[in-house]
Amino acid sequence: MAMNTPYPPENPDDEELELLACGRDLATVWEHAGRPDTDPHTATCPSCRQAVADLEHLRAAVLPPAAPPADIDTTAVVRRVMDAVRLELRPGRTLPLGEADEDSWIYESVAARTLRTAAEQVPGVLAGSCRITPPGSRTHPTRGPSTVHLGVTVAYGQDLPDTIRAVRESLVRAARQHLGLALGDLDVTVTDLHEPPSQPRETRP
Amino acid sequence: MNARWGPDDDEETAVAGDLLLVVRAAEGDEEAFEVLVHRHAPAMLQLAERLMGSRAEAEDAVQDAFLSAWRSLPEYRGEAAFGTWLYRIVTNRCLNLLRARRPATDLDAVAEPAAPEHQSSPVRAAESHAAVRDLVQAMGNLSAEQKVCWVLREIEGQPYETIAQAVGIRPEAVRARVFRARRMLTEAMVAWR
Repeated sequence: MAMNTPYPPENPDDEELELLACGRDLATVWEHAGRPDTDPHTATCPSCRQAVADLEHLRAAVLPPAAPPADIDTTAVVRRVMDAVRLELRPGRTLPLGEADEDSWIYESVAARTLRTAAEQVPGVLAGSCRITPPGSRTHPTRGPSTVHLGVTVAYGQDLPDTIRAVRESLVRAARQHLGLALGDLDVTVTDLHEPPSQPRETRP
Repeated sequence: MNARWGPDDDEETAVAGDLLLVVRAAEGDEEAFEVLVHRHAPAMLQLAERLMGSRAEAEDAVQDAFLSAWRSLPEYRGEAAFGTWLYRIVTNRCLNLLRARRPATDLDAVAEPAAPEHQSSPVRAAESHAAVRDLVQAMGNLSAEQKVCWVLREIEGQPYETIAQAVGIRPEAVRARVFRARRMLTEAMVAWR
């Protein structure tokens, strides 16, 4: 808040200069109103005091009662936003599924959802970015094992090698059982450690 | 999913929690985006209602802003926190709606009184009816930029630099607009001292 910042350069815009009867500039008087280091002149000058009182009257008239945002009912807005989002076609990359003679494809975002869910089956794991790249070029993907890059965050204090191993196993299983997607390179990156969400806090003596 | 991304204890946790969700939403994860919408909708609705002066218009603005955010997410590089980024999008959406609502008029020109459904909301009932009417009318006479700068400064309590970034003008220009708005509004209240 400006209350704590040093005084800004005064009157950057000469057009806005408006002088009170005492010769002080109104914009500056208002900017300084309410600060602990207010110009001593303002405290006694009738023109300055009236100007400050006018601003305070305005503020008192418009300042909203302190309604916490949490009390606002957002149900309708959230529903409308998500309805619109789900109707939007956001065609992503398609991945080939199955054998070489098949013609089945899946959107990367859909396959990624399955893989993220699989990763999060492992306790203490939250999945972030999940990119699945089929062999071939970006414009002409070919059939074959896809490369997966998955970012995860892991709860503090967990054994990372064990956790990553469990994530990889879960991914391979889900790719095979739920998608029929052959996985090649599987790159799991721990991007952060997070606080275990559901653990009860330590009680202090 | 919502349960595991439950309410956050503090701001830092909230920002960290946003990070993962934003990455996922950018890759097309609608559920992750829904959690973000849930999380940020209250503050955005409050902001928009203060800017637009009506709940219905605020909801439209926020809905448009979230959709625009969804479309722009793949390009979002995280220079600002997601909440800050959204704040700018909502501010811009409201600014455009305010501009469209009343074509820019010469400040000296006599503007028509705001229609009742456009009444700028944050006027307390403590004032007399006549004072409220005058104040609401004066608010209706502010330009879109003046209104937005003034609300962000006086009601949202934002620093000039933040407003400048949100509105896309220089901090000096924000100061000038806030001053003009204060001038016009206090003038309207003079009779009710």
